[in-house]
Amino acid sequence: MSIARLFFALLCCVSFSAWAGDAVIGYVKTIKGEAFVVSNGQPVKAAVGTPVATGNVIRTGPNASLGITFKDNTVMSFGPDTELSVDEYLYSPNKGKLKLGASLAKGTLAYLSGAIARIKPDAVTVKTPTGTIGVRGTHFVVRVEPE
Amino acid sequence: MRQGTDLAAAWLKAGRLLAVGFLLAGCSQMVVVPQAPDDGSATEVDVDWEIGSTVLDRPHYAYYANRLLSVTYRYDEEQFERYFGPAMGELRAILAAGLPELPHSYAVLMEPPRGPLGTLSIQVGERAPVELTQAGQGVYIDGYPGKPRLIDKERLQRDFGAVLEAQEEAEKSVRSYLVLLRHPSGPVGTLRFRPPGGEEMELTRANLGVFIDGGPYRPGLLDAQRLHEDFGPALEALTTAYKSLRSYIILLDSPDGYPSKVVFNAHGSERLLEQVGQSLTLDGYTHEAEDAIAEKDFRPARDATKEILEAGLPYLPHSYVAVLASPAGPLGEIEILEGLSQGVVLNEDRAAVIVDGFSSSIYLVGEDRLQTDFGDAFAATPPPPETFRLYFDPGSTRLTRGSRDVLAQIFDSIRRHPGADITIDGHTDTVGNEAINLKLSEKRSQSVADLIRKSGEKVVEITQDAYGQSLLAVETPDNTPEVLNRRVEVTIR
Repeated sequence: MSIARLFFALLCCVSFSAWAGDAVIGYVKTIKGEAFVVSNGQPVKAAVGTPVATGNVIRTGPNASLGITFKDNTVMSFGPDTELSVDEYLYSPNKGKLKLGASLAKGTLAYLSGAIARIKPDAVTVKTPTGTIGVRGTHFVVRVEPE
Repeated sequence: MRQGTDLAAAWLKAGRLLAVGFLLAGCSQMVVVPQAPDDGSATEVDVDWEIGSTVLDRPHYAYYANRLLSVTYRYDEEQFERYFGPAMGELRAILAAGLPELPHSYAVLMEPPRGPLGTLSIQVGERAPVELTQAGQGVYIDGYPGKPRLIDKERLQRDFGAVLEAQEEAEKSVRSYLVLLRHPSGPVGTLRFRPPGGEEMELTRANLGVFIDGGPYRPGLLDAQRLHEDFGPALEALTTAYKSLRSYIILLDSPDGYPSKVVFNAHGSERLLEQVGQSLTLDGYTHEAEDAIAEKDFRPARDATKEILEAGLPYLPHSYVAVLASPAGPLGEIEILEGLSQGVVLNEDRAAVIVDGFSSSIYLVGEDRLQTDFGDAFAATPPPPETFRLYFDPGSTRLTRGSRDVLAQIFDSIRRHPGADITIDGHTDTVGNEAINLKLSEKRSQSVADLIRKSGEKVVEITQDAYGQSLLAVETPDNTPEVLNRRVEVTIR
């Protein structure tokens, strides 16, 4: 069974210089207040449609909140003073490549599982400074209190 | 005539008889002072006769007086024996028979229980003072002359036994001493004491004590009664103070009901407090905290905590994880794989665990708490992805009638998904060959993509995929028309 993946011209409302070359794994869908998506050390002010790539760090300010939907339909939303990095993301179910690894350094995260967790439950982990969470469910929340 | 010792009186009697004899014999008188048989006593005879007077104070001397002359002379022993032999013999016999000592008043120098012996100087009347320098040496003090001599032990016991015992008792109760006592909760330890001018000694058993006000510097066991009398109140006060003034940790029941434990590292060994009420002094000794003391010590702190909780102020912030039910799928489970709460599995709606080390117990997180902590995140949750299926006429990119309505739903969904990124997957049924169907599925994808672009709805990204007949919605044999397979799946995120 060979599947040809065809990528066509992307219709974008906004253009971003930073992400050219980094495969997009999700987009900011909701934003309130001031937040950033840091890509290769470059902070990009988060807005609806801001792309997210593997290795990016999401940072929300003291009065901000933000939501991202990933390609496999995983949904993550963040409260204020939150910092999360997306360490690994693989979504090629036909090639058996499924992985989602994120690290929550501080703040609050509400998580809704997508295809990766559904297809391969032990492929999703969220790290915190004092523990690693194995995600084999649909919906959970994490709060990390900074030291 | 003055009376000397009783023996002298006996002698005097003999002397008087002699004198009378002499008088009768020729009106002369004589008095003889022999050596006293007890060899220590001195004899003094004061002679005062009409015919003459003298003082005889030396043994072996006689005094003879008649009308014509009087003389003091040393008598001849043979002559003495002739006259007084029998009387002397009888006297010696009496003495040999061991007549008891006649009671006298006397002073005796005693061996002190402590301190130097010293000397006792006795002066009786106008006589020269007598010095007693040996323990047990005594001398008469009632006028009866005598040299100091050792009083025998039996005599001393008879005369002074009771007094000495009483003194010993009194001695015991007014002395200063050190005693090693049992520690309320630890090893007895060792007490080292160096007496003046002596070698250091060690007390290593409880209740072993030593006098410190003069010796004897020998450790001895003090009886419990004595210790209780001397130290009872002090020890009681010490125990009370000990209990109430030591620094300690105590595990109390938490007002929010979470079980907790305390791990305390004391002098390199770990101590664990797991039961409410258990406590530990900060020097590592187990401490049975009395309820009254713990209550007194912590009442204000507990009241303050209770007040804070009742005021509804937030908990001390902790890092925690909670699993929540969702209409989007089954609850499943969350496991803590690594870290301070490793191994905890959450598989109930609102089951939560703290992950910063405060506690590893699973608890149900309150709705209020969830809203406070995650209200903003919940509000920021993007609308869920939606998938629509559009169906096609066989072999074509023409939408079925029903699907045109679905298009409207798709556009509506795009509007409800700000920043929408869309995936369009094209498929075919098994009618026709694979290569053609692959191309057809591409075209179907493309056409839907075009429709979406033409609609003008705001879209961030469109991803088009084509699967040909490789991913059937409904399994059919080859070359079987099936409208459900002739489809495009549009997912809007």
